[in-house]
Amino acid sequence: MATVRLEHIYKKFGDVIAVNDLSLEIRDEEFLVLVGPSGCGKTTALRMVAGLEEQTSGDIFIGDRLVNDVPPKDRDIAMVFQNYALYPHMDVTDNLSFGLKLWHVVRDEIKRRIEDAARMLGIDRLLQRKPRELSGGQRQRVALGRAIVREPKVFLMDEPLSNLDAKLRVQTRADLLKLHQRVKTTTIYVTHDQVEAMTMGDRIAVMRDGLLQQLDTPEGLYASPANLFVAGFIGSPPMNFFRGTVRQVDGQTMVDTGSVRVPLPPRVAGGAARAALGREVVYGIRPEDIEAQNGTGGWPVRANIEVVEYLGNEVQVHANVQGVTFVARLSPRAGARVGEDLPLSLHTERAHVFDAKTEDAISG
Amino acid sequence: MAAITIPRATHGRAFRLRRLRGNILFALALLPFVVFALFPVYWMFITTFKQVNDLYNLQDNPLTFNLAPTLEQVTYLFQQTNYATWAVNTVEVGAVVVAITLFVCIPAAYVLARMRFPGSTSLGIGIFLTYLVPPTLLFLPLSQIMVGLGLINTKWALAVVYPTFTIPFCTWLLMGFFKSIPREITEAARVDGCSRFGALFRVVLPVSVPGLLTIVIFAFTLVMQEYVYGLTFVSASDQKLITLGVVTDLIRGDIFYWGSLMAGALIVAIPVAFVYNLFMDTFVRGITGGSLK
Ligand SMILES: Nc1ncnc2c1ncn2[C@@H]1O[C@H](COP(=O)(O)OP(=O)(O)OP(=O)(O)O)[C@@H](O)[C@H]1O
Ligand SMILES: [Mg+2]
Repeated sequence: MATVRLEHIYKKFGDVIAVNDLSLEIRDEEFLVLVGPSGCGKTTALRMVAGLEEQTSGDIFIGDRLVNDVPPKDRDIAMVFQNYALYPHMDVTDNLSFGLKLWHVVRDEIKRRIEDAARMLGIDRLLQRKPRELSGGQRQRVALGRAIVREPKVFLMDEPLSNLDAKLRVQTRADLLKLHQRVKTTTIYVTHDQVEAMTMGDRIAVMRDGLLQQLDTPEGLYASPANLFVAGFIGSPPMNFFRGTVRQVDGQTMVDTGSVRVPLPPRVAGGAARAALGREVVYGIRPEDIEAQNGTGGWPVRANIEVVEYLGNEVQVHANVQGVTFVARLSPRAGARVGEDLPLSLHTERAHVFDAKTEDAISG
Repeated sequence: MAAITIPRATHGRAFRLRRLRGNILFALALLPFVVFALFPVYWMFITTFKQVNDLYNLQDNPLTFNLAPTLEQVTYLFQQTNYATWAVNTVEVGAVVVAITLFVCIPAAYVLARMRFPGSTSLGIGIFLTYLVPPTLLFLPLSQIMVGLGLINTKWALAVVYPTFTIPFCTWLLMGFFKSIPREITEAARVDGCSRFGALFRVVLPVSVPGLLTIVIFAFTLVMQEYVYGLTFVSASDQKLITLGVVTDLIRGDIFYWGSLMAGALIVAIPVAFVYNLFMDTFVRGITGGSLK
């Protein structure tokens, strides 16, 4: 069990800055998810913690130990690679016991750990097989098993579910969480899938172009995204954005897109609202914060329905209010029909406002 | 729930006939190539066991035994020449050359395949280019070196010289092989507790068995067939390797000891052919399969 601390980590590949001043502390027993679009430096960051890549500058601590110059084998970590990287010439048992034998773990103990892990992962019938005789899902489990039996201080996982089909991915996701609840090993988990990040992470670090955007719990990221990027990245379908100017209209501070006016949310009140007056902003509201009008409040608008996507438990509609289009998640009973007008209410008290230039959230 | 029965696939007579005809056509198409490839071997074989009178009688059919087969040529080879010594020399020199080649090539190829350092690519190409320098350019300077080392006119001169062309070629070959092994496998080993070199020995080499075998066979075959350096550096009969010994000691002036020449060639060719077929087939097939994805 250990904490992992990254302090001002930079990594350059020639001219490319893959990781830019990353500071991050992963707590003991925490499941931290590193998420971001392709190429944002997640894998690079993880590989530096593993010691497979040397940082250009900055310090990495595992526990209280500075590991900058410690080779991977002495960092007491286990890594699950995106493409599994099983040893092709060894059967499953040998794949699992490889690391343990190197550390001279006694034979009975190796046997116990392999049996435990195999049972937990449901691979106990596959122990004699070679990797090429396994399906993708089974290989993935063996790769996990190889990490588990090591009983390391830290698990590092690089998109371990990305090669699985949708159903197996959901199941393995749950299995991984159960595993973490049981062994409680500090884990850094890399993914580019925000759903995976939201469902699995104790905390989530969102990265973009090598820069850490926000580090927070899933609830925190969803409720108060720090900037436009995080707001658009977390949530599916993504938050609706429209540009406007902050104005005083009839004694109320509003965002005016030119054709539509909506009130500022309460989180942007008082001083912040006054400071925002006259500024260009991006107004964001999530599809789930828009409802069909039912008399229970919200900001009323009349929308023309352009597209209706029926999903069974809900419909996603593309609505147009005087030239401003957005997506809303409505009840199938809301009666949305293509081409018709529908009264909607926006829960503007849950809306977000971002500075159009800096893209940072405005709140006060 | 009703059981679902899947009808067993059965092939009709027409299908079987068609398949049979396909197989026969395939065999017929192959036949000329088989004859072409095997004729020299057959010729070696039949010449080895012919009596001298049979061999030199122009009236006889050259493709069959006209007189009873004999072992006399083989006996001559072993009793009147140093053939057995040459064979032993070949094995000794071959083993040393293979050992030197592996010892140098494995680390060199691994570093060139895996490490990123300035000039690593051009270094790899440079190594290969040295292989292309023709031996005829090199044997004069090399013979000076052999005199200096005191190895001239011994088989060990060859054990030192042959690696100069096995190493570049094999390093190049092995480099390609190592590159085809996913980097993550070595990284997994390093995370699991290996040093860089530990990962090489415990993971990369076992996975590279086909590549290593190719090198061993290449180096050994080269030792068996090389002629120019052998001729230049070695003249004592008991220091020669097979290829040189057979040709120089069984052609005396304009007299060719055809039977013994062919016997000498056949005896070494058989084990080599055997090894090629056995190893290549079993080891090349899918040893790396299934490690990824
Ligand atoms: N060995 C390397 N040499 C040069 N550039 C590299 C190297 N490895 C990564 N990069 C660059 O660094 C940046 C970050 O790469 P990284 O692999 O960390 O991205 P990632 O977030 O893991 O993306 P993905 O989700 O696609 O796996 C990219 O721009 C990539 O091109
Ligand atoms: Mg990656």
